[in-house]
Amino acid sequence: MSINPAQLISPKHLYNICHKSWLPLACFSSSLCLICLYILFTNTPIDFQQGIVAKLMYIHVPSAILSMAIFASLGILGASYIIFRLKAAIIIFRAILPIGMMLTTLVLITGSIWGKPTWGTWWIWDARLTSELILGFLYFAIYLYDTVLAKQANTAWVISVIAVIGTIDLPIIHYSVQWWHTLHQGPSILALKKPTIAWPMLWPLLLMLLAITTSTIALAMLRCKRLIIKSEQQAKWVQAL
Amino acid sequence: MRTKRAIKLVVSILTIAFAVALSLYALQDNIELYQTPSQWLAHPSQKIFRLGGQVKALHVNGKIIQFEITDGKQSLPVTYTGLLPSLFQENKGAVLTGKVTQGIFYAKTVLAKHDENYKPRQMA
Repeated sequence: MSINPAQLISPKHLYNICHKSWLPLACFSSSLCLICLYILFTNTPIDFQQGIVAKLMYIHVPSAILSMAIFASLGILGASYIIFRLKAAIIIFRAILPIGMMLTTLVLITGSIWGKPTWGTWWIWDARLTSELILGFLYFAIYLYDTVLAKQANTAWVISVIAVIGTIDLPIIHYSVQWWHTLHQGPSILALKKPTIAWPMLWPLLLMLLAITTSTIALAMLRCKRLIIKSEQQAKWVQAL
Repeated sequence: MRTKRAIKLVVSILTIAFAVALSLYALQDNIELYQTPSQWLAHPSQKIFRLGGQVKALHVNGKIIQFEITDGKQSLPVTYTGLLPSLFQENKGAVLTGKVTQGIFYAKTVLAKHDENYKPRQMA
């Protein structure tokens, strides 16, 4: 007899986890965000080459990492929905989808603002920028399909398939700056070498990454709760709430 | 049933990933943002293209800017008239659009390519 994962993680369990954890996590992440904001404006040093504009990295880099990490999660959740028909997976999928879409938009906007004063252009069709734009289109396609055709019976399956296939774009984004000549520079922290960012600028960046990650999880938990109540309206335990 | 679905999924992903890899490999020359001087000199043409590399021997004569773009092996002399991005400087990367006439690259646009190093001004 094999164990059915669908019984291990039921929507009810997921609801209870989210219900208990979202508020403490939201308090922690929002205070961390405020602390980071203070540090960014007062304590982070100015870059020797690019000047004050390099401070954009404290938003650009964490959003870029998360836009890819969230899409990777969509791929894993999508695969577990396709294979195990896990209800909870598609709920988390829908909870994090718009967050990833927003962060991808943020990456493209902050990158554009950063590019103009340093490179001399708002946009260029190099491999890094184009592959990240494609990631944005993938998010948007999934979101549109899910919201516009929400009543179709196989919507969850279709968005899972797009997400799983879309993960092929992730290694392309990451390695684009090494495989091809691009205007975008090589990796500073996500490489198997010593980070090329000096410590006084690196630790605020890592703190910012933690702040944005925890905010994302807190927001996702809040969205999960709402999505579960909406989709499980008929369940006895939801009506008892 | 579950095993069947898992196998189907893995096989589809691998097939599509392989197709994407082949397409990217075939389109390599189009995906490259620029050519290095060596790449261009191996196949010279009269067409407009993007040239990229390190800036050397920078001379500014009023509005006329002259320098060389090198990839460490070979280099091309460049002439440009106009405004430069603030990060444009000697021994740093640049990406130019233009074409070669009589051995000189006449640049229409100049973009600066900065590196991945960040450190505070006090440490520089």
